[in-house]
Amino acid sequence: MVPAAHAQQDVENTVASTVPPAAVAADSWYLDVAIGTDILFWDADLKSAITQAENSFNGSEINVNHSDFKTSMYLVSAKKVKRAATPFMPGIHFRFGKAFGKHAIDLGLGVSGLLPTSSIEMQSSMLLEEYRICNPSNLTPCPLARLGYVEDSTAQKDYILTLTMNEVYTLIAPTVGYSYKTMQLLDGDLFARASVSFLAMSSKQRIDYLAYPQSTTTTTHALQGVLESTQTSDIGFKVAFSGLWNYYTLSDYQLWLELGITYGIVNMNRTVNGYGSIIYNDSIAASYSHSDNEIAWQSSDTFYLTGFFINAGVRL
Amino acid sequence: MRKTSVVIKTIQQLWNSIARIFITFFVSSMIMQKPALSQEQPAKGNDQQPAVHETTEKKDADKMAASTGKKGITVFLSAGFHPGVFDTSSYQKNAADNYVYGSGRLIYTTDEAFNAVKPALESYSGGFAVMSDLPLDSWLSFMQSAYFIYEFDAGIFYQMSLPVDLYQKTAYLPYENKQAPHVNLTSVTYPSVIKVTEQNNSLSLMTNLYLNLKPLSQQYLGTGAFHFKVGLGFGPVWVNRQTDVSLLTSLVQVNTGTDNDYQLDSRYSQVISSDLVWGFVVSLASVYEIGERHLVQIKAGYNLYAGTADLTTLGYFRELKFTSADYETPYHQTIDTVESIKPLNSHLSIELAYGYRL
Repeated sequence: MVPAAHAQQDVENTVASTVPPAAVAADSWYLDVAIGTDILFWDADLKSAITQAENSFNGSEINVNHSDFKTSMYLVSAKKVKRAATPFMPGIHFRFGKAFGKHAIDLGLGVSGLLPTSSIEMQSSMLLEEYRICNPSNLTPCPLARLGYVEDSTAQKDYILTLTMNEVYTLIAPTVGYSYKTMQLLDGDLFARASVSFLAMSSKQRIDYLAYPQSTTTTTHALQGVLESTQTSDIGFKVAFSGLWNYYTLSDYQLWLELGITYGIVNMNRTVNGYGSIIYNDSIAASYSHSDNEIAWQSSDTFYLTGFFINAGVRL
Repeated sequence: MRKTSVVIKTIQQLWNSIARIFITFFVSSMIMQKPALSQEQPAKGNDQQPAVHETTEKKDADKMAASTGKKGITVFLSAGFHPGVFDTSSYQKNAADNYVYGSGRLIYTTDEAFNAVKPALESYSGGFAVMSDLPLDSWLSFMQSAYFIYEFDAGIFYQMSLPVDLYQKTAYLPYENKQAPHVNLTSVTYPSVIKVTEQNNSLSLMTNLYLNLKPLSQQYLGTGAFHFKVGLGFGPVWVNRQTDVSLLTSLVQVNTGTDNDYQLDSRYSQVISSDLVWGFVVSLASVYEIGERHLVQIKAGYNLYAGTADLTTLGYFRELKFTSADYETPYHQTIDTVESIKPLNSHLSIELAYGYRL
């Protein structure tokens, strides 16, 4: 038997007693609560922007401009310093909607992030090279060689690099959506859905690193530093198209599963800040800020949220 | 006979459990309406479980109906613009203090070889910043007496500000470099600009209990269409805040010996990232009902935040010496600290909302 309430509300279903009742009754209000994840493809430009800190360990020149310690150096990690691929952006979604026959309109809010994650945690051998013309008989222009950070003859030395990267982000997405009931499928209804979301994003990435010579067991000669990238309340928008299958259960609630594609843009205005210290016998011989090098203090990057998403939820 | 796999049944039961928890705390009024459907939904082959819920829910609904005097959903959805207004003068003072006072701060170094004395900053001027909210909340009446209707409210609020220039001042900064090669730089006064920019956002899940004075309005004004309500609320708040502070002096030419042009440059950021605190709010709302289902509400609240958040300060201060070919840094100091702070001051908020009774 078809439940009477639903049969009255969905006239099209009354003719077939074996057909399950409509998942969303005509002219009814509903509340969806769901969890899900976006699976995004990061574009190359954003990758390079986010990973500019990683380049510090992949052979970029680092300048130390201290008056008594003026030099340039390369850090080359044996393992490529690379941020872990994090295409998944899990979140929770609330939608409040009303159905008009086969049509439904909803207003919702999606929240992603909030929990800190560790995206790099590595230990690797690293080559430190002083990028100066050094003469073993006169090491004045080569302070790293003079103080034993690199060999006099080669201007190089092997180090052990320990590096971690922690990040946290918050993505808020108020959404307006429209759904159209297309057909019945496997004891449920299949909806085609389109939505537009406003996006507000905040994030912080922080890299901490420490490197000391492999030939010593102490940190009498060490390089230590921090690099941080932050952005707060950057805005954007997202459109999504999906298929939503609403399974009609025998209780008062329905289950649903949604698969779709998404395209969005957030203009990220990042602040990049950091420093490095050259530690000699537990004191700082020299320090340099990343403003001395080619890492911009302010960076404006476009974050494209292109990819798939999957949500599973309950409809009340 | 509906054929449902074991896996789907398990998922179904899990989701039902989650749904019931959610309903209990957020939309319990919906449960009250369910018996009407449940009575007409004697599912084939699965008539035991619905019967239990049906009985319980029917009792709840009857109890609710008796207390409110009417049966049915009294849930509202509101959406609107929600400007919050707070005094920014304390932020300005704190940011400026980081430069001009206190040991361990960037520019007022205790290093005798490099010393800056308090620059002649102008007095602080207060200011206001506006943060907008994106509220999504619902509420229901659950008890009624001769004078009040008690209401429960649950909502999600996202509060956001655009970047605000909290502070921008020009000041003269006397700075001393007493290193042996730079003795002639003692007491150089640099014209400087200090700038502070801040951006906030927060996400909160607030629950409120309201005393709705509608019965009093009906009694004394003869209509319940316009009435007031007062409320108390609390909930978790996830806070993001970023304050960028910069100081840049003009280039000063020192024509002594080999010394050339000098400049001071400093930048640091203070960041809170998704830290959890607790929010409390006392609110007063005036409600105007338009017909049976529509209403407009103006709500003023006093918000207070309890708890601490980690404030990370990261930045540098450097003295730059320019020669004809290059530059070098006679002095370079970094700051990288984490301290626990109370992330937000108390502030007022005003909400304009449209409500719809289901």
